[in-house]
Amino acid sequence: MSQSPPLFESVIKQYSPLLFRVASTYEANTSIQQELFQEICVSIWLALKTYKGEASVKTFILKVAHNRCVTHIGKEVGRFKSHEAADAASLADQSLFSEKLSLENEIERSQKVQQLLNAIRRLKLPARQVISLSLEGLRYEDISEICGISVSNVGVTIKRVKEQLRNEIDHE
Amino acid sequence: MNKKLKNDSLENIWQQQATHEIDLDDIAKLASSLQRKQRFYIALDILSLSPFALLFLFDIQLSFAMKLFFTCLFVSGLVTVFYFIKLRWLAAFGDMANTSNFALSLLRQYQNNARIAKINKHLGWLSVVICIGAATIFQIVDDVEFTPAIKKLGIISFIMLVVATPWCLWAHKRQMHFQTKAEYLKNNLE
Repeated sequence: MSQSPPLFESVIKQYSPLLFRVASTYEANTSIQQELFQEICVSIWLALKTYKGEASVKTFILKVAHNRCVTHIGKEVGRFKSHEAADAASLADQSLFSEKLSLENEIERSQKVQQLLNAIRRLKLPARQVISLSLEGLRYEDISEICGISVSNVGVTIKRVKEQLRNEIDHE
Repeated sequence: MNKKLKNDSLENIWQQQATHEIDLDDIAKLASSLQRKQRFYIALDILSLSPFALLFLFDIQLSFAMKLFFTCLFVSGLVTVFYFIKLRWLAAFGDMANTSNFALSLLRQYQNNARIAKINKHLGWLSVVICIGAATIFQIVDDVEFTPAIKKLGIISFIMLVVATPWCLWAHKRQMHFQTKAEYLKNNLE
């Protein structure tokens, strides 16, 4: 077996929640989400072999992850998208795991997460990428580098999409 | 709705998603095997041109028409191999482009694949027509007896149809597959 790139283990340990969230931005079905997450990690393993430190590791892996997900979109063709069923299952999963908060709070929270994810998945690809990167706390400059659009365009997109998402969540 | 939840920022809600762990050893195994496969396929692509080397290594006497035919075959083979290597390279390292460029190059790739499949589909039925036409002309020029000539033509047509029909169907299915993919991606981008 060929050796893993030196950064791989630390990168995955540090950023796996972030990478999983990238996968969930594109895929609602939980089992396919896992597969996509695995595909993202494999792509990062391969890509890190050529990483020379021109950009921060976080920017680099996010670029790779989003591009892998764009390829995944092509696979959606012809597949029945059982968003509702997947969402319900995911909601049930999420509402069971926490005992710290009250059940009511936890369900409300899970519903909000699900509403946000559904609204984001309905966005066109460029807007979806920009907003998910912004929600991860990336700077406009980094988002601009990852998405290949101007910084001002990033700002305009974030403002417009956030407003749209808030409206959708409040009305659901 | 709970007041605190109502005031949650989108960022807060986003960070509350449940996430999963992954087995690093599994990923390393999968990635190594993928890398080995990619290298193997590239080697196969290049090796597919090796029969042409025989023409240069051994002084095989060929007519001008045959030389022209093999040269055309070699050039088209070379172009195809370069295209396949480019696709494999994109699949392995294209992820590092910015997301806009990557999506556009993926879209172009789907459209090119659909175009190639369309060409293949038409080449399939066209080759049947050309072969049957050429065989008919040879029969007429050679002035052979009518009944054996018809029998020969029948056999040739049958063989050509058996080979070309699945080829055309496969190419058509591939063309539709890539056209749908391209359309779907385009709709997601615009």
